Amino acid sequence: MQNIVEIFSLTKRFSRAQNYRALFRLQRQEDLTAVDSVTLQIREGELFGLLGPNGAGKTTLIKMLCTLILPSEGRALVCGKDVVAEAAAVKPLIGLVDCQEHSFFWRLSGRKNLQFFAALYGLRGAEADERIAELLDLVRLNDHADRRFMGYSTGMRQKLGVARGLLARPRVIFMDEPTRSLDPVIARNLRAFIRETLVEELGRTVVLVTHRLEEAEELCDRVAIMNHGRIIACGPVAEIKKRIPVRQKYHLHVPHLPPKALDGLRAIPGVVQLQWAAGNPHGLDLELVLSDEKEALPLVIRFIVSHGGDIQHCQAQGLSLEEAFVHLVKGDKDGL
Amino acid sequence: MGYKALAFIRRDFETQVSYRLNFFLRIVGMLISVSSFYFMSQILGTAVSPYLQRYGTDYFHFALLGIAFYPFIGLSANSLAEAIHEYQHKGTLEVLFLSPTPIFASLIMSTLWRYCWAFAESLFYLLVAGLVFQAHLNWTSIFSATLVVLLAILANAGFGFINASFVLVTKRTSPLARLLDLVTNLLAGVYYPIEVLPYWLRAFGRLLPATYSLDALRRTMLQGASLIDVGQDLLALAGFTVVLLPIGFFAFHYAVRWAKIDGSLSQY
Repeated sequence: MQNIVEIFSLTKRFSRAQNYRALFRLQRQEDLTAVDSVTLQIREGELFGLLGPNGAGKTTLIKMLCTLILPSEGRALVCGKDVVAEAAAVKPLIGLVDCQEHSFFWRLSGRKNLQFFAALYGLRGAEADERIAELLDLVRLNDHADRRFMGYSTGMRQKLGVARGLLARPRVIFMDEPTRSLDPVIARNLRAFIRETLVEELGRTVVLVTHRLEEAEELCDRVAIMNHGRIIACGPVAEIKKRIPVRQKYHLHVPHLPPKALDGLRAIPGVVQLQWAAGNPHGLDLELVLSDEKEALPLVIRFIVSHGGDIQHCQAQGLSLEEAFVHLVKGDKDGL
Repeated sequence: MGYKALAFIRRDFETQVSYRLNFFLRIVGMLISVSSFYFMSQILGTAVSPYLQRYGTDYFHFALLGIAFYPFIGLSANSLAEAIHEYQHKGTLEVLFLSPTPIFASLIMSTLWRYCWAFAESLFYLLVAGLVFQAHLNWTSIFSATLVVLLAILANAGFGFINASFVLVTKRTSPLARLLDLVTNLLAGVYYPIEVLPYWLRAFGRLLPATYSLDALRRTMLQGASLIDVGQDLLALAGFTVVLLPIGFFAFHYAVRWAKIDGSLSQY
């Protein structure tokens, strides 16, 4: 599969707002680096996730790819076209679906909004009407197409945003937190639509910016995790998880273990974290995080047994993307 | 591009008529406005004031052409800025920038409905004045008057682009737009002939394109002057166009670039 988005050392620095004191002292405040030397390739037909905490630079990166923000340094190509030098050629190839549900004309119906945007994208007459009907059908807004936009629910507005993003049959669709402020049922439907319809059925490339890690884990072929403007990890979710130092989590139900033995358990080398609760019947529910299960787990079992404990249940729990994400972001913050 | 222009006009027309009361009140407002000038002119009588000798008419006819055509001049200077401001508030400016239609064309097309409305407004003023208040206008000069209006729009368009640039960068109404509006109302002869002004103020009035536009319009519509007769005014308007329009384009181009560098297109 060939690359459809190619980013080379893309950087964006914003000038910070000057305060009056700095202005009078003629001090120049330092620039804020929102995107810092990002290099990334996204393949055609891929559902690519862009993750990161607030202020990580995800939206700025997307807006640079959409020609809405000019980069300070570096280069980006969408379908082989430079987003700065060939911005006019990039625009017909991309669609942006953002979470700004107010970016429509509220007093017009959903259909009339789409008719207006279709004209902007060069669709006219019967061709436009046909495409609009097709999209309204796709996002299941047929029955509400002639209602005014201001009467739409948040979910319906989001769906109309998706329909608008698809009007010109873009090859790359950028989606900036499309499920934000949607209720769980609508969010699930939209996720299914993105994966099954946009990517699998229509073969579009989707770049999904999201805060929801479970969403990225469920949908994306590959993800990039951004923090402080940099990509700190990139690859399939499973691969990213593998890169995290092994920290296995275990749930144990242990009857007959005296609570005073817990301090000794905590002191075992390789036990990173220990949480416990009184469980039934007559025992403790332990949650252990081990840094090296091969060495630490036998020691833990031996310790529990030697202190009269009776292990009735032991279950290993894999690392979630959320835990990997927290680990990576924390590691990045600590300068790891 | 024609169907795109129509899409903009249709969008704004449908939005405007959805505010039915506002639509109705604007029409009533025009009726009241033209009536007020008629009754005010009754105080002055139908005799030609020495100040109005240049146009050979009474105050009602003089004021009528001021209020009927000034909206075009005002629009030329303000409509782009207003359109951008509205898009910023609605959150639709980025969507416009994202479409393959050049932003320059999109913004100009965004003002078309306003011009259509101004045209209907002017026509309404003139028809009401003619039918209700028996105003005598030289309708045979309507072609020349249209050309003057077009040139007046172009002459003020430079200010329009400068004001639009200001809104794009600062997200606030341009102080230049407000100042220009006040100064034009005061010095350009919208409601009274500039001859009533002291000599030094009149000189300032000569620095405004509106002064020449209104003068040429009145002479064509009231006296039946030909385009050659108002040639000096037209030359002045062409001069303003040649000087101001490139400055406006330049300012707008850099404002767009600045907003893209600053990442503030979606902010207001």
